[in-house]
Amino acid sequence: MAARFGFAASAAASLAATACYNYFFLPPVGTWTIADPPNWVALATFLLASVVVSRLVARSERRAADAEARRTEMEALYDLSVDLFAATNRIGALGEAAGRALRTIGTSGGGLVLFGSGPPEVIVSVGQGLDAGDPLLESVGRAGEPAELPAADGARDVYLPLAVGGRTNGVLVVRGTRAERNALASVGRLVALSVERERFLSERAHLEALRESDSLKTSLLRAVSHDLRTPITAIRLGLERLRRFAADTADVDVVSTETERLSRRIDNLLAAARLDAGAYPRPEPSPPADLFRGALEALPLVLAGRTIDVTVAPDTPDALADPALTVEILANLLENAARAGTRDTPLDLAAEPSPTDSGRVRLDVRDRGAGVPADVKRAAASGSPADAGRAGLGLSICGSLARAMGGTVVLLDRPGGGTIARLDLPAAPGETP
Amino acid sequence: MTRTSGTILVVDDDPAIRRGVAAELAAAGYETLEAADGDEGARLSAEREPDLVLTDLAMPVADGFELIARLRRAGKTPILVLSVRGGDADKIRALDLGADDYVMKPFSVPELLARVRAQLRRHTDESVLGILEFPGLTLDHERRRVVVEGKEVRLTPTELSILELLASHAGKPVTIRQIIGRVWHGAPGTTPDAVRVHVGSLRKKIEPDPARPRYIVTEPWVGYRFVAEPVS
Repeated sequence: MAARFGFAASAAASLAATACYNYFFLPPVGTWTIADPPNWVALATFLLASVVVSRLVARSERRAADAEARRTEMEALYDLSVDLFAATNRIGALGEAAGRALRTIGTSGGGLVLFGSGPPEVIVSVGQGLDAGDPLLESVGRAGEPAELPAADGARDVYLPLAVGGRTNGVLVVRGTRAERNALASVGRLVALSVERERFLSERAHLEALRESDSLKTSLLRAVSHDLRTPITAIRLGLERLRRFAADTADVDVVSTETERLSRRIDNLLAAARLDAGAYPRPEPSPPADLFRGALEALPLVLAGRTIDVTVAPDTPDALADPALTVEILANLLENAARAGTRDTPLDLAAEPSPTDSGRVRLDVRDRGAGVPADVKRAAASGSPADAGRAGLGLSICGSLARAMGGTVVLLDRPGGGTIARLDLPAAPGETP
Repeated sequence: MTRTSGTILVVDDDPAIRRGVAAELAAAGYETLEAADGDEGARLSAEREPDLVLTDLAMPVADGFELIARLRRAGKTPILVLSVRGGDADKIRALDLGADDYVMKPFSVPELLARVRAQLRRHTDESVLGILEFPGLTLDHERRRVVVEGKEVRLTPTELSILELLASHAGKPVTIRQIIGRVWHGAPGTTPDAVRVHVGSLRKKIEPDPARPRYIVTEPWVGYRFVAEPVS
């Protein structure tokens, strides 16, 4: 009786049973009186026992109901965690799993809202659902503390902040729940972790795409590098053969010089692409004299017959620069300088410590041409290299390569006529033998 | 290009390069053999025992790296790599595998011939190192004397050891690791920067014009190269 109807009904039944026993079985039978005193004792014991049993049964039954409720919560939690973590790398699985969990633990549903960079975003809304404009969402999110509102039938509406690593990234709302706070907090933590995981997954997908694209660029670059340089090499070898057999080498010289120029453009292109593909500059202490030598060796035909003075001021530090990129820049500047003046004007390559900054070194390429072209000056003033014409475009490539190594390139009018193209680079740390 | 001799095996899958290089070497007086891949290269090398192997790196059927490894297992034939510029990692890997030097495509013919000459020069054994003579510079190993432009130059023992190492490998790249191994005997704590400082002061003493080095130049990311050719 206690199990089915509770303690009160069970106690009343015990009392009635005791009275009936007295009426029908205890002498004088048929009356409500008890003649024999020991029978009083027996009857009282009987009543007491039945009341106690009723009580015990009722209590254990209530416990069983509680246990059943906890079991349902645990089951919901378990299902939720399985759902969340079995939903491998599929973005969007989070919302579905959270929806299922809400239906299990909240009689009136609820929802999940995430705070991103923009306005709060409702990921799930089931049953009564939630409204993104609900001010309680924002205050719970800001405070990072759960909030509860009474709901029908003694249940509660619970607002749980989703916090991982001190950052609240959303709020889970469970409506009409009787579940314990601890269980709800567990649900909140699970969902919070999953939100974090999903965010990480989408970031990783993005990074992987980037890495994939970089590795594609690098492969493409290697292929292009090989495919462009191999024919240039073959052309050079062919020209050498022609030169040996030609009666007049003037034409061969023209083609050879142009091939050298073409080769320079390919080097420019590949250097820029190498930076773009994420192959960062690899700086090392580089003596200016060796950098100049590299630039001169890159242009033997363009510079053939030119007088070139190379000076390195005493105490000029080594540049801390990527040697290949630096040679690239200097060769471009030299090529421009060679074009600027007549063939009989000398070119100067000069290195010196920066007079304004002991941590930097200056590499100058100087010519006696017409000075800085007007369109380059105009472009420098407007800040748009695209307007600068051919010389300016070459200069903008040099500028980009230099910036990648912490350097700069500027063109200056040279006192007495001509241009100074100045590459300014960080110096290698001082020598301590 | 005066008296030259020797047989050179040219291994490259690109026929234009292979024939072009072989033609230039033949014009310079060398005998040439040609192979289109690493397998054929290894076979020809075993059969004909060339004095030098010139090889490309990117090839189908046994690439240059594999060929270098096979040749090194078989012997000491000098190996010169023809590599595409920008492949610095390839260059270093080839040297580590046992290649002796590299030329970057697109190379000039004089540059190629200079590298070939340097490799074919008889490897100088330092224990019998006598007098090394270069234009404007004489190095007397016995008397530990260095004369530049007729004047004796005083070098520290470290500088002298570095100069001896580089000059005895004239025309060939010497890595910073090799310098640390030979000059400092691999003393722990010897840094590339320490090597750079000593080479820097050595260059100041022996280069007549510091702006246009004649003897020692840096080999980016690798080490140094003694560029002057010995007076024969």
